Amino acid sequence: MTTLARRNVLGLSIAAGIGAIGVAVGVKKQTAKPNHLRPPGALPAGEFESACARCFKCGSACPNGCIKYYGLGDGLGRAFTPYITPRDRACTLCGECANVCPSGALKPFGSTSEEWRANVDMGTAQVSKGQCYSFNGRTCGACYRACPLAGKAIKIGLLETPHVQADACVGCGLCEQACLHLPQAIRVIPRETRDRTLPGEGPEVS
Amino acid sequence: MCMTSAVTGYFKSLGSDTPPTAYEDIELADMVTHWGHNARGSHPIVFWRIADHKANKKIPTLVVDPRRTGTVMGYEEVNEANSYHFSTINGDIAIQNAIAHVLLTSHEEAIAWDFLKGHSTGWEDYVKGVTERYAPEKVQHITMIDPKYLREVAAIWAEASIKGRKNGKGGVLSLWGIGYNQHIHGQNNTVSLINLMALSGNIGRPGCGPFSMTGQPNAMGERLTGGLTGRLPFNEGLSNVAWRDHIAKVWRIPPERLASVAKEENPGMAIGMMERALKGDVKAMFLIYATHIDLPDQNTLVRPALNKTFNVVQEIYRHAPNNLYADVILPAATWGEWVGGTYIQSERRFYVCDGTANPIRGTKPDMDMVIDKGRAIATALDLDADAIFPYKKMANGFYNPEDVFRDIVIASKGSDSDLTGMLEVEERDGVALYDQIRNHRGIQWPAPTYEIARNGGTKRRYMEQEGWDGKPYGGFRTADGKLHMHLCEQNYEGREEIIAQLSRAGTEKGFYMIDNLHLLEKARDNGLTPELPDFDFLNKRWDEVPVDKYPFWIGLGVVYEHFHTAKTIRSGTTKRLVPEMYVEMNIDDAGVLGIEDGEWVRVISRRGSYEARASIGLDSKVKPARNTVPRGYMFSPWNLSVGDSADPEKNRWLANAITHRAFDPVSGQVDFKKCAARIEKIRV
Repeated sequence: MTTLARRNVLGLSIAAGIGAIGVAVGVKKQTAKPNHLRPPGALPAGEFESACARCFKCGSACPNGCIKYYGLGDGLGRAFTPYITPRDRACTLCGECANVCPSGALKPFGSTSEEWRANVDMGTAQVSKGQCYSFNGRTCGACYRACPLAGKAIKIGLLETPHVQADACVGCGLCEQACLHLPQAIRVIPRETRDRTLPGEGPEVS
Repeated sequence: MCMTSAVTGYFKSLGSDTPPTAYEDIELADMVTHWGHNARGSHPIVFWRIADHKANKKIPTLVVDPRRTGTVMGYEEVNEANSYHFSTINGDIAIQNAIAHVLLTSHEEAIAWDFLKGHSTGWEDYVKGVTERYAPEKVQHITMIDPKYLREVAAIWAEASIKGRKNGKGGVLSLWGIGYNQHIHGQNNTVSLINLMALSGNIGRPGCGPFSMTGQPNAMGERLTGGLTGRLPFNEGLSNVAWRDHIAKVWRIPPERLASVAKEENPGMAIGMMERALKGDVKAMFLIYATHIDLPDQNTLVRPALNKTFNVVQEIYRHAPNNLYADVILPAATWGEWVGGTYIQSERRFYVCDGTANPIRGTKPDMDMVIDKGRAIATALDLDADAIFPYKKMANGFYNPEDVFRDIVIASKGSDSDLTGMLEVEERDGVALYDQIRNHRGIQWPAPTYEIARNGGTKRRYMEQEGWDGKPYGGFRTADGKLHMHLCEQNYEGREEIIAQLSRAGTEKGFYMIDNLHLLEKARDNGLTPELPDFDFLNKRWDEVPVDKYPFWIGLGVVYEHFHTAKTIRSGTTKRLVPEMYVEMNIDDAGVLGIEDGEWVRVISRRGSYEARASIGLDSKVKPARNTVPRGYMFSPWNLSVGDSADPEKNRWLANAITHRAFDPVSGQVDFKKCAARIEKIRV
């Protein structure tokens, strides 16, 4: 146990050291890549990268194995910070990562659907009607059945068509993971991309 | 195994295997009912048409299904106030009779007396029987439905029936699926539903009627072309001498050969064949795709039987379970591989399906195999093969399915499903047969005249809805032109004794169902189940249930992510959706049993067992988790049976290892829905 703890401390200090060096040499803060989500309960972009201790505890705690980490190749500023690719493996909102986060970069967000709606904002799902099977007469509904807030975040319409309710969607990405269409007809637009207001940089609208 | 109860039921009541309705009736209906039919899963377009109609016109719906399925929940989402659900196990006939009772005693204005007196027989017995014996309170132990709730639904039924009759269109539209057909009393289920529809005048008018929902696209095609033993093409029996001679003539074979076939018997249908194989009376089997794993009682009946017979298997898949028991395998090309053909769907509509790819080298389309084998057999019998099979191969080396289709159309002349109007259209307008179907996006049989064929066939049937003169299509297709009502009974008195006798099948050596048909008839006439769970042991932990007690109902069905025999489990997408065998369990049952969500359990019956993951409630982590089951009832899909492995040594998911071979003595359909089982936890 001691060795493990020691290694943890070692890893943590190395990672924190790299972050500190990065800041010291004036590397620009880098947020998550455009198609990646931060784990649930994450602080806003910028604040998150400052607060994250690069301790890897969130990933070790994740029973779902969906949390991955950026490497040095992804840029010094975002190196060793966690991210999720929902189409590979989406977050199940179990909350373990936020519960173990020592630095407050991930804030515990509760376990009821009301608490999720209040405290989690990973992004917002968006449907491409041109690609979605249900919008093209072939009933599917896989995303609706995968949604942990089915009926609230996704309402079902005629022929199982999904209708995302932006105010209720927390962006977990389970819909994107479940989508039968390739490329995915429903995808989560990450918080940062969604909120970017510069013209031409906003989320694609289909 | 899927629709024969509807076939024989339609014959008994209406005189022809003809669903009288069309999909257009959905938008005209004033009430829609589903019996053993999870439409949202099995017929999603139909479901959403109904849901849309429900949203627009606020029509009430009734779903009769033990489980709370997506269909039930979907309708409730549209309008909870007029969505009804009867969670019954085996109580359908009693429910229908009880609704009839309520109509007769409290809503007499809903009874179609004129129709009954003018166009039906047997209604007096039916009216007397249901009035005397089927008060909802009296049969509650069978229906499992609160009598007050049942009376409420009956009132709605009455209202919709009256409305439909007043408007000349609309009324109650009743759809049923395989969950309704697969019972010892499957045929009686169909007859009983038609009785109720006739009593309330919901037949022979647009917007109402009984409507069987077929499964695989061509179930109706098989029925029309005489796919069942004892039947000739176009809705006639093999015993009809005139029609037999007509078919012999159009098939260009000596009539005495076909007459000799009429003397052959096939007692017990599919199950009978397997039992006779076990006895040694059946020596060889020819399996064309009909996978053996969809038959019941695999361990003591089907697989031992197939081990004894010489089996020729026509297959498109190399790893199909049938191949394991095959002595000869004939590799076939699939329907999509070049040759194409036609198929028929639930509303009697023919479609053309065109092939899109080339067959794999060494494989042949099924039709070509049949023709080539037929030619070889004809030659061996000293018959003129060229006259019987006058088909020529095309440049690509295959026969033309349109040539054979022309023969089908010619042979239908004068029958209940006459298609010869299409020939006239071809002659007068110069449009080829397949092109006619393509242009109309399907033609509904019958199409006996030029005008009807040109307009896409006949939408609705019976009570002169076909709309043409000089054809034998008046009221109904029975000999007297009337709808025949037969009171179907459900009576649980003394059922333990009959069911105890039935339980000998599959557990007692030398006990054959075909030698005990009287038992099946008795079970059918009383509307019984093949087995009866040991209800006294329901409230026990799984390890406190004695090994010879089976406290739960178990029903099998289909999970729609996968096709039959789970070949789709090899596809990444469908495997991700439903990766493994599961058993749906009620949350309270699981609590008492001491089984947690996601745990592997063994489902055990008197005849065998399979392994499955417990899926408890809608929040289960075991996919697909979209239905809930009532207490004491469990559900598994059978179409994942060989999803783990087709090799019997390694195959642990074989759902039909547990089922009972009891079948409907007329339709031959097996009761897959109500076996008794025990649950054991698998310790790891």
